[in-house]
Amino acid sequence: MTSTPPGTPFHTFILKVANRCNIDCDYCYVFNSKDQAWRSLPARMSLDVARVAARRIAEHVGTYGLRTVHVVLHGGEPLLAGPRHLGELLRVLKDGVPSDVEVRFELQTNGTLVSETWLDLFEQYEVTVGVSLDGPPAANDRHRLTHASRSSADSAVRGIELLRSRPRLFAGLLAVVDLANDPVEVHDYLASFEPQVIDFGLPHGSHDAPPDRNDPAVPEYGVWMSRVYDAWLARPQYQHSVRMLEDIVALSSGARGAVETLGLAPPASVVIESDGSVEGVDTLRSVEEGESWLGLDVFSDSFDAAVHHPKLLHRQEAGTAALAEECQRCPLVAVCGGGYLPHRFSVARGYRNPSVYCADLAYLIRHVQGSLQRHGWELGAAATGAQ
Amino acid sequence: MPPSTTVPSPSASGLDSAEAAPNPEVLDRIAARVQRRLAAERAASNSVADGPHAASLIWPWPL
Repeated sequence: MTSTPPGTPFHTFILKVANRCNIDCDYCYVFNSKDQAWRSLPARMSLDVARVAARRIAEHVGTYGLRTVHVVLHGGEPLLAGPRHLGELLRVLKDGVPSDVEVRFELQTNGTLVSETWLDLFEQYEVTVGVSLDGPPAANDRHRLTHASRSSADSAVRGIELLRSRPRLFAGLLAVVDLANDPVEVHDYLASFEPQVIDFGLPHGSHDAPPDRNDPAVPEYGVWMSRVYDAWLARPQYQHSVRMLEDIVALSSGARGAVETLGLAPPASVVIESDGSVEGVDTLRSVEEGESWLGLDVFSDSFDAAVHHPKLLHRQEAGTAALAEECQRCPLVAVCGGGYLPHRFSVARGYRNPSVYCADLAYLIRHVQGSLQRHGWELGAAATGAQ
Repeated sequence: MPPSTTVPSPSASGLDSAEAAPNPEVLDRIAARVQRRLAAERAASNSVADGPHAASLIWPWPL
């Protein structure tokens, strides 16, 4: 038996199957950020790119002995690829990976184009679908408008209701936090669709372009999310998880893995653009032009080249070594992980900064851990700073 | 790790909301999922659940 090579493999392959969108969210890191690479990328991924990407995924699972991988169909809006083309892409991807490897297909959509035709295709390939929605229509309309500045809420909700007609396909809802929205109202509205999972993303920001706040002295995003936590725990009629919050619970209880925004486990996803180029963390487009660019592509390079790429060395540095000094000393670091990479960025110091959400994360983590302790949970070493 | 069923005390923080008390049923469900997740991590031969993409709704743990 051969041993696996050094380095942390990728388990999740994000395929940008469409590089355009039918709506125009003002916070979008693909279309409305500093990086405008999308303008020179193909509108959709070709079968040739998908075929080579599948071959590279097969090569990677063979190299590292992986038994399960996630393949996420992403965009832009992935449904703009059209059902026939996306069906062909799925067939090529499924055929290209050895049959003894479990491939979990996932898709992230704005929901507005979902139809019965799409649902049939998703069932055929067991694609689970996450929908992006920021809350009730008034909340969603703050940012998620069409190119004609009209609400996208009704068509997104129609798509979600279609997905609910085939519950196995409906993975859940992904929302971006806006302090102007009421957190409990947003939580309860999203919960009313009975998703398995809800998650909340903090708006992209960096030390050079900090997120909007009303009062910099108050950890407003932490307070906002703590109110979501309280609402989540007070609603026994719903069964869903809230990914960010359950990750904080799990990390505080000794778990290792969490969404890439939390914890010290290395990010395990890699992005394949519609032209076959490879990126490490696509959301880095929000911080600087070209920041996500690695100079690799599936035609010339294996994913192992990305594993060992100098721009992705933070994945290889064990524990807290890649973090700012103050983060390395912080008792909460095993839970927050120093914060999400884009939120740590500054031109002056790169990623060796605390997150722009440091105070918010600290507030939220302490709120969650305090709640758990009051209810008799025995928190793991991560919760007390012992590692 | 299972949560107790005692009535929780309200948060001491002035910034916290006056949200209703946590429901033991919800805490029990979360505890059960986290237990399954810890067991899955211990049993996994590779770290398939490490670092899922934030801009996709991947949930790699047992629900």
